[in-house]
Amino acid sequence: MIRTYLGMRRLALGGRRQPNGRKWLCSQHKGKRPPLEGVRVLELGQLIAGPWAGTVLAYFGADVVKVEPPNGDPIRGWRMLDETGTSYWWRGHARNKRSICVDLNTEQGREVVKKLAGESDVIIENFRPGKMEEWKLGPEDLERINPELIYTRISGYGQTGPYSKMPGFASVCEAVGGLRYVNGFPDRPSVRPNLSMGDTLAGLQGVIGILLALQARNGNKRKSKDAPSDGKGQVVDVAIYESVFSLLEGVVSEYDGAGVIRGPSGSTLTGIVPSNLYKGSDGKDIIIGANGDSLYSRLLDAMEIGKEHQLRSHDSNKKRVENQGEIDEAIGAWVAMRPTGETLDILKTFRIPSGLIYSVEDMVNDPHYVDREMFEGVEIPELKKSLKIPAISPRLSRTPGRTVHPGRSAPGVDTLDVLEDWLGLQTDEVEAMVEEGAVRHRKVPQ
Amino acid sequence: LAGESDVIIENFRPGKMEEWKLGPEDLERINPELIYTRISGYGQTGPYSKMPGFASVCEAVGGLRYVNGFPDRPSVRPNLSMGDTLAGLQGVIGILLALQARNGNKRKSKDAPSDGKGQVVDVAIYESVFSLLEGVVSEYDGAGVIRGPSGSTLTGIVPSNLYKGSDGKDIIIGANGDSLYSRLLDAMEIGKEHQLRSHDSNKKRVENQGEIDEAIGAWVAMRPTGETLDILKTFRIPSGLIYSVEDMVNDPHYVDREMFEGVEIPELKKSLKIPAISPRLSRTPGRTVHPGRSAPGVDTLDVLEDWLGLQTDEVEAMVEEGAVRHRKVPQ
Repeated sequence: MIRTYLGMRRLALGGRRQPNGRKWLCSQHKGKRPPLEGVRVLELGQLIAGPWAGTVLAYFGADVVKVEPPNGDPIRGWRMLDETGTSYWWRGHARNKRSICVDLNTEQGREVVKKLAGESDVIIENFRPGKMEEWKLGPEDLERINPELIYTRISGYGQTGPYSKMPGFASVCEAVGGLRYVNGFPDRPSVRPNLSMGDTLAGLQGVIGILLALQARNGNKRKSKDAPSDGKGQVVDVAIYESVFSLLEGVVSEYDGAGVIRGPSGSTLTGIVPSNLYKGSDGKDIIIGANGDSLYSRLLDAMEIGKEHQLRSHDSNKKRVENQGEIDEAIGAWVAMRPTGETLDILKTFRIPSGLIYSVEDMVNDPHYVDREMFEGVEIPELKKSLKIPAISPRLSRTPGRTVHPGRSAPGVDTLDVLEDWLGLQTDEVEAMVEEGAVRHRKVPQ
Repeated sequence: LAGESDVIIENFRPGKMEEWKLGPEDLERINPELIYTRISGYGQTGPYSKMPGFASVCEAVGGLRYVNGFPDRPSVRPNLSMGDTLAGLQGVIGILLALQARNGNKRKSKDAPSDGKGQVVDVAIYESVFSLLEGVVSEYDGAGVIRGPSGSTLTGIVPSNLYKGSDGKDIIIGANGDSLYSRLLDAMEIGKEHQLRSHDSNKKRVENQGEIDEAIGAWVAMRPTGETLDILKTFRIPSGLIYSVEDMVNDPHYVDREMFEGVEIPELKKSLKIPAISPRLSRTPGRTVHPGRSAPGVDTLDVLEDWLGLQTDEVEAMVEEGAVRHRKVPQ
């Protein structure tokens, strides 16, 4: 009982206290509790898609236990690394999660994971479809011991269907999902956004699926009318290609109804004029979106176009689409006459939506981003320096999310704590498992 | 109506609801359980809050445009209102999080408390776009690297690119892993002693990207893309075509996964395909009940009766006043 209390207290304080005793809490969150407090998540994923769902849930207060293989999640070593060999990506991606180290290739390791799943609200996995079943850790296996479990599966193509067993890489899934076809200039190969967008979108879909399943399981409580719940879990099936497909708005029904195949549109949006990029005298691009009748009229005012000018006659979206070339040329010529900053100021006075193309350098120095606290400063103990990581949206007024720690610097620092906390195991029992090679525990240097 | 609701969603410019005395403080007084969801270009606070929020501008401020394109061309706008859709998804997440906070967590072994209160969910389009940026911020702050556009590839990952077949169709190949790359070279029938075999780590492949992409491109150009796809599938190399909507509608996997729902449009006496909505839940799935009301106000009478217990004559009086309108559906 006391052990559990201590475990819960440590949990309430946000996990293991770091050696120097500091906590990283944004000032605006002081005193507020996150919305997913008390929700347990067991994360068996690696790299981006599955773990991103875990990251968002951990930010909003869930106790996310990340199961890492003996060498750790490979994303610890992806792209730019700090002096300790840990990726900067890891610090935002793995924040708040507790790390246990389990060898899933041993039966004892799988047994530990099975017991942990028995004590969890949610499990997230992003192995290839069928792998968990091979390990006797599939939905049917776990439902027997924990019918309340929300079993979340993230893969390239989903758990069913002819492509289900194909390896799912975000670049391929973004193309199958329809994003690549509409992204680019028609006379060039289609563009790949320089991001693993399919993976991130799949993570968001995972979050939505988990929260929906929690709602179904917990029921709705409203003073005037409670809605029933049945207390049962279920399987959430997320496919990367479907998560990308979910961005396609009217594309499908426009094809089926009008036979139109939406394609790439360069730097504009087809059928909406004017909405484009224009270059200032300083070589910087500015985006202007004046695709509304009164907006367009105000833009011509800003450009000091006379009331009798030909351009004024394009007073509907239909006419503007027909005369897109003439309009874009006029705006382009006007913008090219001065540095973009000055054009931005003029457009702001006339309340025309416009902006620069922000690089990360622009964002970090932007007063709105700073006022909205979109960058959180975290201390990396091994580096003795702080690092900016992004805040996670959306913003909740009463139960906000927050960063507690910037990712465990090595896999397995929480193995002892978690096995004690969730399973009530004693230190010597865990040491025995370490001997067997089922789990590993990393001591944090003081 | 807000007094009887769990959730309210508004996307007027920040301040408008307050002008109408329908702001969060006004509604909290009559319904403290209400989850008040606000979606705008830049959010409810901050220096840009009152600026009109257009998705095209917010996608640029949010950092997506800067990393989307070929470096020698203007940055590309995806031909979608992506910022808007992402903001909608963020709204869903915020609402569900707030519902969880209000309802509490029920687990046999351990219930977590709830306080039954609502709150404000503040979604900004530019922040919803910003949420896609993965490691960009910490890589800039830690290593000084500014991520930029990468054409048809992903920087630092090789090979992952587009290649054109003899039929002019593009195929994407992602073989950016040591064993994957080796298998790809097997598929291409590259000999064990060939120079290309020596690039056996991502670091070496990045250094020799030009040579690798040229070899793959030449191999792909030798036959129609369909045949190349079949070869790659045998060797389990991630690859695929660039699907247009026409490709999707005819694809056996899309069809098996039931990604297109056929709805009847009564006025047209024909059916129309609309997309299914993800994700997929096994026990409590989503579903389409109707394909959108064909005119505003067909449910005015029903809703006012259902939520507020009003009778038909009371609603008719409101119609007379001009407060509401009710549209009768022809039988």
